[in-house]
Amino acid sequence: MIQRFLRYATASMILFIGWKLVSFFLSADILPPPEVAFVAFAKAVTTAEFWSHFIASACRVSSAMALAWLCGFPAGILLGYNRKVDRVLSPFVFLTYPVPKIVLLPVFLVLFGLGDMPKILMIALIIGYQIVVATRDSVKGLDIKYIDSFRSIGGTPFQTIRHVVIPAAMPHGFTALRIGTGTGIAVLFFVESFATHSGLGYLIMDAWGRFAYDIMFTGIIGMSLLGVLIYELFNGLEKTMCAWKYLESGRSGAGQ
Amino acid sequence: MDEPLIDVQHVCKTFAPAEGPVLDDISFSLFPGETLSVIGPSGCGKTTLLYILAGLKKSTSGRVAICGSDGNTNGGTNSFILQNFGLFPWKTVYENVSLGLKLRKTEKSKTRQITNALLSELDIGELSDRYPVQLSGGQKQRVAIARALATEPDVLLMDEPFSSLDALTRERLQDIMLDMWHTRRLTYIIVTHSVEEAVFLGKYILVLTDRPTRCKTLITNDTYGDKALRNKDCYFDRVRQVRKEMEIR
Repeated sequence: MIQRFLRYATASMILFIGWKLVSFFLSADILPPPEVAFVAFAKAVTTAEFWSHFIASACRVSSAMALAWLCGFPAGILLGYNRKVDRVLSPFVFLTYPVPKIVLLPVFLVLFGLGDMPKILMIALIIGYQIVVATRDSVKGLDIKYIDSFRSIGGTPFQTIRHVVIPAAMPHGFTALRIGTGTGIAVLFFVESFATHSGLGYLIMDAWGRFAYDIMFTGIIGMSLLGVLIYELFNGLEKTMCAWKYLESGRSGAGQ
Repeated sequence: MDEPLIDVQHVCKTFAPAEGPVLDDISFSLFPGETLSVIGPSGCGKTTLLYILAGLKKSTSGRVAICGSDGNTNGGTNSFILQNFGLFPWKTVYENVSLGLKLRKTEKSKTRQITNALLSELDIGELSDRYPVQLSGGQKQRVAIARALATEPDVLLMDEPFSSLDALTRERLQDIMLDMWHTRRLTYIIVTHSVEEAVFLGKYILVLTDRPTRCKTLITNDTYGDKALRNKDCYFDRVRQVRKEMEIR
């Protein structure tokens, strides 16, 4: 635990120094030195305004990821497990997967209005695809001996999904969620730069327009913090729900 | 007892017609409490035979009947120990062993009682909260045996269950199987590539040919059932006999 803390502290130091150097050589207002940015951030976290933006963003991205999971994971399980369904539906998934969904944002804004709905749906759509593909592939790659072994104990197809397919796919689903966190936050920034007056993305774009670079960095740090929190949440959830996986590989934590 | 528990008649299995049959006209029968070792060259279709007996694969022709304890000629239950144990890595030892009972919707208290009794009988009681990855090969195999016996199957099927274990562990587990047979009069079929194991664990020894796999001989092993067998001359004689049978073309 202490070692882990030290590793994180060292990495933070190096990043801090790197930022400092770049800011020094650029000597432009657009990249303030890190200490200025962090002082501004420390000031901002005492204000209700910052937290209202932070919470707006957190609600959007977390509900989007929950939605993506609730649709994507079962869909991936179904596609991976049932060959008939897979044969019919997979061409649709793989034909539309490479299409950049973000270009549909104007369509979403027209269809679902200017509120939170189109933003949540856009993030969920993009991450949902990643979860479907990762889950489907993991089920397809499941060693047949587990299914044979389960059937020999007398398991029905439904029980096979519950006791074999889902637990085996869970770690892959979590990996998709962790990768999706980065994507989700990026998409969040984009969708919040349109047609809204709340959220960290709005805070950043608004500050940029006003040349308030310290406030802009408050938003940037806030968004990074949001990403780290969600990422760590998934790490923690996986460690509780898939304890066996950590024992198996001897990892103390995924993705570190 | 005039009705065999397991009756296998003229079973054939063909995967690809161009390659010919994998199993060709396999027949044997076993009465309750009898045990059978199946031995033959690797890749000859021994595993396929077990899959057919377990109902996981269908035979191309022929008849397999496992008689249930209720007299139903095709209602017998089986437990199948797959090669490399087939334990679920995401379930603890306890969950693995009790799984079959859970699927059959057995009462919780009864499930706990049966599971704990088996765990302590096989000397793995302290391991019940561990995951398979935390176990040694021998411990995993004990868990697999406990899981297979939990549902009290009419017949136990084992596919090279001890082949990945070191010699000492293997012998200890073979002793356990013999104990289980003495206390429960288990009916089991064990597929193995070890002649010694076949002789130690089988009242009958079915020697199979190379592909297409046919029954070469069925040896009645009257030395079966003695735990001290490994040191006796009759054991070595039997091993030599089986080996000779396997070598005949």
